[in-house]
Amino acid sequence: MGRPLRGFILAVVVHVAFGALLGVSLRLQPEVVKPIYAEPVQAVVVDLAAIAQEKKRKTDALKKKKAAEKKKKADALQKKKAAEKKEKAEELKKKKAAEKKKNAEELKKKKAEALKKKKAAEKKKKAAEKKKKAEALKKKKAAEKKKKAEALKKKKAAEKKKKAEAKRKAEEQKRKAEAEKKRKAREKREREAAERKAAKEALARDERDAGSALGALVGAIEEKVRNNWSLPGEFTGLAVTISVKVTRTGEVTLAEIVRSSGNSLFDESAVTALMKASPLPFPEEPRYYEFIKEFHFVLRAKN
Amino acid sequence: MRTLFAGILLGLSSMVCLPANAVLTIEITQGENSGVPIAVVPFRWHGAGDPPEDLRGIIAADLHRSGRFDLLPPGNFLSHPSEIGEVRYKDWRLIKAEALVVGRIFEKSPDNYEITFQLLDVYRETQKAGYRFNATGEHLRQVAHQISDHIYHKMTGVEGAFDTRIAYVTREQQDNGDRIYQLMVADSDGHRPQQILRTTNLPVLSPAWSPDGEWLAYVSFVDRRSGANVWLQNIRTGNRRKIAQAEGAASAPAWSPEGKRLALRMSYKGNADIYLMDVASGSIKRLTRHPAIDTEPAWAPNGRQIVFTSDRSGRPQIYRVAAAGGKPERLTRGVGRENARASYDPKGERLVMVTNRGNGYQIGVFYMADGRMDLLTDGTLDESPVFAPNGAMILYATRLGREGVLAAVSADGRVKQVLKLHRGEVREPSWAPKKN
Repeated sequence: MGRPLRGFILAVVVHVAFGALLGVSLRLQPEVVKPIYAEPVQAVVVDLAAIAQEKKRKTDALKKKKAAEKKKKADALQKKKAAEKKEKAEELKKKKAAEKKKNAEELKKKKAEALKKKKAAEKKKKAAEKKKKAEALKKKKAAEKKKKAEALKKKKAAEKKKKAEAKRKAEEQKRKAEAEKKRKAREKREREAAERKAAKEALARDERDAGSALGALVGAIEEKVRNNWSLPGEFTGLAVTISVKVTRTGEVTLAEIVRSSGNSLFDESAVTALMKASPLPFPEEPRYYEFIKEFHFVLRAKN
Repeated sequence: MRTLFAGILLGLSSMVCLPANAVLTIEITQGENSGVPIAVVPFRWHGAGDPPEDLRGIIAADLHRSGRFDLLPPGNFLSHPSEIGEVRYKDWRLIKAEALVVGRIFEKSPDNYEITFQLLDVYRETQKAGYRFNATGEHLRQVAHQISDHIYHKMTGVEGAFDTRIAYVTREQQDNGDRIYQLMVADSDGHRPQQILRTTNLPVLSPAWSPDGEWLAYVSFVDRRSGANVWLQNIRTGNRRKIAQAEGAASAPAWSPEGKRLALRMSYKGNADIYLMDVASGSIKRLTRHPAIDTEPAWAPNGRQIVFTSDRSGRPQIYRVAAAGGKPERLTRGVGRENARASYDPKGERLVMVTNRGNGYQIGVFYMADGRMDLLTDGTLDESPVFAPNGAMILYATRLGREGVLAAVSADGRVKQVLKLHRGEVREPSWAPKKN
């Protein structure tokens, strides 16, 4: 460890101690202590010539050495500074030149690129236009083609339909004709059958007509009398027979008890029913009158 | 010609009969029951102001209620005669009336009226009945009921029962919570009600008319502690006495037809059986002896049998026992899940009773001859049915909304009518016998 360093440390310690004593807070950032360069001291003449001589010689030598060293250092520093300056200047110059060169190159490059781009854009534009034109043309052609195809298709379909229709009509006509033929045949058969049946039944017809007409007539008379018959009580099991005479228009002219029920109220209610039901429903054809101008009516109570 | 038709008619034998003498015979069986169409013309009033009573209205209501008549609406009448001389029969044949009633009221002096009426046969153009009455205003309703009775008798052959009285019990809740029970007597149409007995919080039950119409037997309580007892009350004098002094509670009294005995339900040691009591002496004879409940006795009109309700088979059914005693015989079988409170019609051929076929309680008529039962009503709580003295109608208690009311139904079930009698509950009707 050399002295200067020791002194430096001491100095720092002292400085810190004093700083503490003075109440000055010690910052964590240490203060930089610059190296002290001793100033050349002027020789002093002493009596003791030899010693002094020696001393002077030593001192001078030291002084010379120090001066030389100082000069050397200064020169070196100067030299260094100059060198640095020169270097910097050269560097700057180089840099500028490089920049200049670079700029020039960039400019050149830019120009070249711009030109290239412009050319490419123009090329692209031209290509696009070309493409567009080609597509439009293609589309137009396709549309025309499609239109033509559809028209053709329609035409063909219409023709087909027309043909089918004609065929269908023809078939229908044929069918109709057949059906008509069949119908006529059937009708003929039926007519013939009906005629045969009618002919077959002709003999019995009058008889049956008369029977059903009389049956319907009797039903109507029964219903009208029943609807007009009201009983004033319960007469379970009783029945009365009444002889009835009517005019040609169905008016009851006589209702006479021929077999009494044994209960006068019941008998009376039955006669009243016939009187209320008058005129009885009667046939338009006079030939039935002979058979119902006088008849017997039996009225029976509910069981 | 004749032979031809004879042949035809042979084929029609099912509907047309041709006897040997060749006279056509037509035969019909009565259709659905319908009433006899009758026109009752409003009685002509000869007096000052308005007539004191609407006789036509009372008569028409009576005849309608019986179920035997179809009353033609006066709006259809073409003329308004008041005696036979004014009648144009054709007017009545046109509206299909079979019978016509005309009449008049003369005010001879204040509150003194002469009433005449005639019942006419429209198709035979004859008088069937005609009467004259003299009455004060308070008896005009009774005159109308008597006219109804004459018409009913002449037209049906059965005595009318309109000029009769009915008894019933009403129950009314007072604002203070007291229940007022009244034993009431009214005309057969429910008009002119009179109070016979009134009790507070002591129920009155089971009124029963004596055959002479002088007495009402009923069940009441002397006080809240003692059991029910049977009382007899003279409806003219109001005198009453308690019978059945024996230790058991007595209820459900029924008069014997000759009016000398009462059939009762009495409970000795908690078991209810039927007993007979001599009204004059008070002597008691036991009629049934069974651990089941025997109650609600009713006499046959001949006085020889008694029907009653018993649950000896598990559920209530109707049994019959000789009044002289013997083994009871069950009557109701296969005609309803439960049957109760039976009573006879005046001929002794039918019983009217409450029947439960699983959907509430209705009134049914049971035919003794073949054991079948016709349902007459369609309520859910119809009870206490009783025949009219002529057997043509049945009075019973039913519900109208939340009210208990009396209703009358014709014996064939064709016509039902509610009698508007009283506020509050009306129940337990009894129909008085007809006085001659």
